Amino acid sequence: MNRLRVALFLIFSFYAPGAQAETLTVSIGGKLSSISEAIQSAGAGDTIEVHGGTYNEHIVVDKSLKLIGIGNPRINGGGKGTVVTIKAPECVFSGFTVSGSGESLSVEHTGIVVSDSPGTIISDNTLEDVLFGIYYKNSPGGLIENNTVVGKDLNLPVRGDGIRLWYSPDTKILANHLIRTRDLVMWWSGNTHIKGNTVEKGRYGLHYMYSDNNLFEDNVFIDNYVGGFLMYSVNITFHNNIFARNQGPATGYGVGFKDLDDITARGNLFIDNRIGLYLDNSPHMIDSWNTISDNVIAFNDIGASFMPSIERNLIVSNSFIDNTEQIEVRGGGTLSGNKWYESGKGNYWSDYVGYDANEDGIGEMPYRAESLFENLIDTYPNLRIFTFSPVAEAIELAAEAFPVIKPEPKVEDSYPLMSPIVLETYKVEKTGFSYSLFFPSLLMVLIPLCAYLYMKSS
Amino acid sequence: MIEVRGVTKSFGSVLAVDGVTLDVEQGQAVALLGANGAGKSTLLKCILGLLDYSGVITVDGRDVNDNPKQTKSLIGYVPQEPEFYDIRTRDILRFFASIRRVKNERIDHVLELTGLKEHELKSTTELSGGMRQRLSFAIALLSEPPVLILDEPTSNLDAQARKDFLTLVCTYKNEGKTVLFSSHRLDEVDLLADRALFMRAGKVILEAKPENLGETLGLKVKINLNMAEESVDRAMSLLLEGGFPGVTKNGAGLDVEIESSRRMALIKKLIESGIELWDFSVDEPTMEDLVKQIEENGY
Amino acid sequence: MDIKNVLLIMRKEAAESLKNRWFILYTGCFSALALLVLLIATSGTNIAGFTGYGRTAASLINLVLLFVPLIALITGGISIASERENGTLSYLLSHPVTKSEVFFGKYLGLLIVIWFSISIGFGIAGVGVALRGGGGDVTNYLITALLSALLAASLLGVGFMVSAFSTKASKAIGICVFLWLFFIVLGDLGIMGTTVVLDLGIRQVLILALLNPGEVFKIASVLVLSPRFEILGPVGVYAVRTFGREGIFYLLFSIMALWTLVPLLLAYTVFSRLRKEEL
Repeated sequence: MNRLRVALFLIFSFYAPGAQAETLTVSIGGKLSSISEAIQSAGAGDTIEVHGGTYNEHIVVDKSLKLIGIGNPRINGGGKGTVVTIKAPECVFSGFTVSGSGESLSVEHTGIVVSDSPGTIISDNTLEDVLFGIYYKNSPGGLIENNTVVGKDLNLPVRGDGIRLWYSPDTKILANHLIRTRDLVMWWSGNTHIKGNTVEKGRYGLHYMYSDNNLFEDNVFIDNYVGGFLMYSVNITFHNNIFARNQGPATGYGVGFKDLDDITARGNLFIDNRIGLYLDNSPHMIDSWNTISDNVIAFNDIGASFMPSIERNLIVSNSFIDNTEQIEVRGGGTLSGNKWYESGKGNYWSDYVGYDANEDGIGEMPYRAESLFENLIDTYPNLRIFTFSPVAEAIELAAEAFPVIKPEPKVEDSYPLMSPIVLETYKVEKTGFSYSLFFPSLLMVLIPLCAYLYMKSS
Repeated sequence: MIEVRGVTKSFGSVLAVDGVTLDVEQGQAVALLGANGAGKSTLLKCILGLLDYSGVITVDGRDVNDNPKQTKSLIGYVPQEPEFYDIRTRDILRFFASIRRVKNERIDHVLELTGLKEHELKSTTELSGGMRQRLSFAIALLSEPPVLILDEPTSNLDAQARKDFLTLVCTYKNEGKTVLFSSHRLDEVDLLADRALFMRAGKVILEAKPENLGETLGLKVKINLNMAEESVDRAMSLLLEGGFPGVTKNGAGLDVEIESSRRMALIKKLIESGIELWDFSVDEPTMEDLVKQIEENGY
Repeated sequence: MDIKNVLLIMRKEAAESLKNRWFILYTGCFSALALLVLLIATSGTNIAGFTGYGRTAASLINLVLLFVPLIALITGGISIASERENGTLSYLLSHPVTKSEVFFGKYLGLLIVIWFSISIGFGIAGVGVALRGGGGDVTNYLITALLSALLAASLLGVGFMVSAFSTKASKAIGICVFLWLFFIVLGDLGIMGTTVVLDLGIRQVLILALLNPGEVFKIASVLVLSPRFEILGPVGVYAVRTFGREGIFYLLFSIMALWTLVPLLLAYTVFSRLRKEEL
């Protein structure tokens, strides 16, 4: 430890021969009225306080400085290039509004770029009208906290990422809010802690590859094309996240896992997505098991979608509530090699029709996802056009009447729960009396009745 | 008012109306007579524009095919078997009153006129056959049309209702309206018609004065006399001597076939001769008798 | 054609149907089932502020598809044939009205009555769900009711077409019941079978599905009730991609309009060409 301090001291003394850290003040009309000027005149380890007002400049921080905004100063790039570039370790950039980056995807015009700068802290900033928001390249050990990024109002394909981690492991991403950006990207950035963030109206709430040992807690991914898509990683933990209303065309996953091993997903809410949970080749290592438990998977078109070869998932104590199709096996067939119950306890299925004779909370008959229509649409996706048609019901009736044509169950849960488990953090409320529905409906009854009475009387 | 010129109508190979030509003058009442299937109804429907036909029909100078709405609005029609919608009597009158652009006051008037006032709130399906016929007459009267076409209008009526009905039509006729009706009752013809046209196999084969039509055609009435048994023989000989040849015994009485106009003379004769008649009844000649008569006489 | 006569006949037709026991029974059944089904389908709860729409939509669409086409087809099937059969048509035509006035008056009158029925059914179910505390978007609910009304209009026209061809009401009813079965189950079943056997492509399946007015209603309703058309699978996605989100609505509405106008005009043509003695 001592040796490290000595090393750090040496580095500091190299950058800042003056040794004593100073505080410089920048303000409109003050002695220092440009942030860039202040940076030039500052030495490593100094603090620059920037007071409120708009600063039309592009900033390059090339020494280890603390930039603190006081009274919400705005740095405006005027719609050109990258606005703030940090190229020195251990910087702090806090309390600013950064706006007006360029719009080039190929050059990656960004609000704040942190490049080869380990240990940099970006906190309490607002980024507006930027292509990329906060971009960490080769900068491990950083902290991104309490920033808000509002992307440019562009079509999805030409937007940039809200937060992007590139070879930047050991980072903390806490309590940020990304609105209308492309993705939250994390590639080659393991041992990261992502907590309390909200990502909305983007493409991939989470776009994630080659990053092991990460923990996701209490995040909300809502109204994105895809809540999260994670690939090629090991030991990922999801706790108490909400993946809601992610409904992109052809994707629309709450969260999708591809080639992911040792996942623990517990207490998450997958709600009102096209597909709540999508598993592709996960786990992919022969000795790996994923644990998916205590999640609520509700109101999705498809609750959970599996590639047919998926094995070694423990799926237990989850609540599958009113998904149009609870379980999809892509291409049809039966899912085997996964565990749907553990020590006499399975999952809750809202379409379970069995009974609980001994009142232990576990249904006496197994739950089987064995709809003939679902089987057909899993095999022939084109037939999904007939979802909600009476023909779908008719086919189920036929399958009940003639068990010969009944398909093998997609999954079988021998110990279905009789009531759902919803974590207390997620309030289950009664919906209130709806005036907006009540009065038009009342009119729809009264108008014909009045017309009828009028006709009768006259 | 109504001109029919060479009208022919066939159903498949059956010739229902065969080149009929006739005129009905304004204010005239014309009866169409004939057996069932003679083509009366068909001819009436052609005039109403309810059937396609060849030939020309005009009502009040307008061609029925070219101006169906105008000619139909000139005509009130009582079909043989009226069929109504399943709504209240008063409502159906209101419906047709609106179709004919007639004020609602007329509804009460025709209801009174046809004696349907007390039934005005009944559904048409609850009405008896006679009431239905009266209802269709009420509808026909709504717009006070200048022409009435009645297709066997009294076929569903009992004796009293028929009398009332005929009285109504008479009043109507006396107001100067034109009436064309089909019938197979000679008494109706007698009472109503100015002219009687006889149809057979789709053709008008005879026109006659309706008064004493039966007699004109040589039809006889059959009188059934009821008296004490001991008087029967005496009465029979009296009648035979008195110029009433068609006398036959019939149990406790006599049947006499005579010309209609001599019936009173017969009764008078018997009473004057001191024969006590308990009762007597008259069988008027029927349309069937008329048909038989005409066919036998080669008309 | 005199509009006043059309309106008169329309009103008479509506009045006659409204007091019809079958119609009252039908409205009662439809309303009760709609209420029941919606109450069961809407759980009345939400999780973290989210409510499910899927089961509600499914049950509503299924109910409408079972009930509305049946009543529309049968009402239409009976309409002209029964009047021809019992002679009321001939009697009516002895008055100064034309065939076209009778035809369109009858159509509009019966349509209004069916619309009343749909409106009451949706209304009662809506009131029930509102009282119980069910969510859902009101506008979408109303649009679904509107789509149901359109479906009724088109299948009533189909019923009229059958009726114009039939001399007997009983025969017309038989044909209409079969058509109902065809539109609701058999047609789709046929497409599904063909798709499985011949491995039909996206476009063929879409075209075949869009030929069926019931299916058109369903697709439109799903698009209205569901924020995501993906639920209709690759075919739904293809449709929306090809025509656009608004375009697909215009397309569906146009097909419904065609299904309304073409059978109705065909029925009118057949009816107006009937020889007078056939009436």
